Amino acid sequence: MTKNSLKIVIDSNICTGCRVCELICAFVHTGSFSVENSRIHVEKDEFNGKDIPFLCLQCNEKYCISSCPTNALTVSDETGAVLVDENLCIGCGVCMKVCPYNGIKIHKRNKKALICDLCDGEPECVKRCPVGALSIQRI
Amino acid sequence: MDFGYKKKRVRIDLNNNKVKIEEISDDFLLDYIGGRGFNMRVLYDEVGPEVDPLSPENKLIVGVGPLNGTLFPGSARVNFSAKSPQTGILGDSNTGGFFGPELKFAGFDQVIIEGKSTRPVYILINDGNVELRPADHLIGRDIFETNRLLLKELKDPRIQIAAIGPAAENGVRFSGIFCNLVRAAARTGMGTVLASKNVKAIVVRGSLDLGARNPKKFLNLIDKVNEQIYAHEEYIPRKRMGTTRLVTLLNELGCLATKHYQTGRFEFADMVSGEYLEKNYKKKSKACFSCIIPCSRFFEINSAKYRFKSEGPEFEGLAGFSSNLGISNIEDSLKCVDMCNRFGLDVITTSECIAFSMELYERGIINRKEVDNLELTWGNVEAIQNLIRKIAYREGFGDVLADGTLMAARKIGRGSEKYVMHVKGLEIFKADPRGIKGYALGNAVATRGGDHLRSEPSFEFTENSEEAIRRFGVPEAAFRLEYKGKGKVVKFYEERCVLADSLNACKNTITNMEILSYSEAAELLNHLTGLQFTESSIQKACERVYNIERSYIVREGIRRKDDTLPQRFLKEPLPEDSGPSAGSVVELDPMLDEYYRERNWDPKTGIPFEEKLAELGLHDIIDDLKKRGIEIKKSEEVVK
Repeated sequence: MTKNSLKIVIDSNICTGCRVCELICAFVHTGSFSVENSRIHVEKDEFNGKDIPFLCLQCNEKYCISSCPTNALTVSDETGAVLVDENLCIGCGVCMKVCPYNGIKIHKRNKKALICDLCDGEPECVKRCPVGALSIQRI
Repeated sequence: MDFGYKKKRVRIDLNNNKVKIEEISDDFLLDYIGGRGFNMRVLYDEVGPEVDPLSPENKLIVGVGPLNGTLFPGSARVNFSAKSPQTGILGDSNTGGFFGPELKFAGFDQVIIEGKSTRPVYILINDGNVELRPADHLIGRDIFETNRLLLKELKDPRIQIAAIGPAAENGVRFSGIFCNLVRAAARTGMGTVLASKNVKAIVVRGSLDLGARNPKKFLNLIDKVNEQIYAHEEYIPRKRMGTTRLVTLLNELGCLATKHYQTGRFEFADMVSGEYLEKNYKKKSKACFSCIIPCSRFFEINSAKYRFKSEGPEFEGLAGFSSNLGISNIEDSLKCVDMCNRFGLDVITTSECIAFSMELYERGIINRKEVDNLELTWGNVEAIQNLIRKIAYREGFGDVLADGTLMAARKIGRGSEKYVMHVKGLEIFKADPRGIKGYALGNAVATRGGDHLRSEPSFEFTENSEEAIRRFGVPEAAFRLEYKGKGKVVKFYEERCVLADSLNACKNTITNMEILSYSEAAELLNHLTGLQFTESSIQKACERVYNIERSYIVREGIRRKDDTLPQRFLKEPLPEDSGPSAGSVVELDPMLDEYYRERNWDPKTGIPFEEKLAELGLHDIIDDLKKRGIEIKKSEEVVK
């Protein structure tokens, strides 16, 4: 696979808000179901029935990388995903603030940036979404 | 890392503003599994017959199970339990949404709220910390407003809120606790208990880790369960309509509660059905946490009369506010359900209170002057919506109804008690028991009173004689209008319901679809928790929990005479227009005899035999009941 070879596409109109994507993301990355560990997060507005999954979209600009003060973020040669070096990340949250797509979160407790790594090319969230609200687009 | 359980309960003493964290032992986990099992044991031990349900001595217990917070589909449930202010016996109510798993991530398997706060508070549980915060500004606010204000105040969209509405604050005895706006733990007045403690809401937020002891094997089993669900014939209809599909199904069978159970068919059923709702108002499917069957629905109404949107409803609210009240416009029904959701009322009891009043009005037992000049005729939506509000605020005739139909009938007198469709003070569901005999028995013996969710014996719809003989000994067990074999069927499904409520997974899968056998459950829990469950230990735990519940209500004075149904279902055949159910009544006594035999309870009194309680390791309960002068017999003394 070459750089920027795949992208996760979101259809929030059919997302049921079940958060299975968050659960599997957290579980495969950390061995914990705690959805706080997830790289994808579903924002829910129960008053209006809105469920919108957010995650890194591998945009071209990558303000997160250019603004990271410790150079903790790099781009994977294999998948094009933004990778976090947890030893370097100081949890300042600048990447989260500059991301135009609301695709980055800082962990509530360990203060490390949470960014989708595309599961090395086989995203688990896409496989498990019960309604097909997440799909893979190969570029 | 914790595995499945957090092994912690928190005790919140509102009298002294004290919080105590207690360890939960492995033996307790193995004996009671989770949620409902945990709560029932604590309720038995800590809330005895001397406790007034609305006094500070009552306890509101919140319980979750080992699967909450994991990828197990539908593991989103939570149980709220206490002594019921509506029935005076066992109170327990279960709901889905997102609250249960968040409580687990916040660090606890169980929360016990005791005493009474001197000022209105809400409880904030955040990553193992518990805080009582002032709630004066939330008093009088409805469920939606309360959610909005708390979200604004705490500035965290990921908090989960369990709140009560004005109905609970006003002491309406059938007020619920509402999670995620409309996910209602509505039955038996658990919201009323929370209000009596001056607690307006419980807010949880958690980020603590929760893993599986054998992650790979656990995930493999989840995959197997998911495959079974996706392949199940009920998957698609449930995904489309959830429980609202029952309007059409029950109407076809001739046992849809119509105009207060006076008949089993509603002529406008196709205009208030799940199909009609799906076609005209559904915007999208909605799911609970971790569920792959999105059986809930977000809908929107933009008509000349109404403009609102919400999630739901379930069958009970829909039928309660359509066929059972003669309402033929689904928009009116949805509005009624929405009103109950905002006030924090149980839709089953509220709609039943109104249907009961309408039958009394039709029969001339009550007159227009007594009911605040409302014209209580079938389908009069204005009067119905007026009455919902009056109940929530205890105004006028609403005040008479706000204690539930049984207490209302006692206030009204004039023979009105025979029109109360209840068991043990709790109003029954919106299917007519005469058309589904297993459900009829299930309601008669349910430990929280009139309730279908304590058994859900759906096997009686299968019409599979061979399977019936294999599993329950007689072919009749598979047919809804037959009574034979139903004692066995009900016992089996009662324990499946305990399993679902104790794992805190959804009954759609565990009970109705019968996914996850006891041996699969043991394997799953062992890979998750590292404890040693077995097929028989789990089955026995379910039976143990059910027997504790029975012992609890026996201690409160419940006997066989109370395991009954309203006379209408026992004596009056379903009328001619009820299609395939016409002419049917419930043959309760032979079903009860079979049921007690299966349970090894005394058929004369309904009290469990000593051998049964001993076999389940409940020696302390035997001693407790004996000490209180309750005659626990040995089976050989009674059964020859």
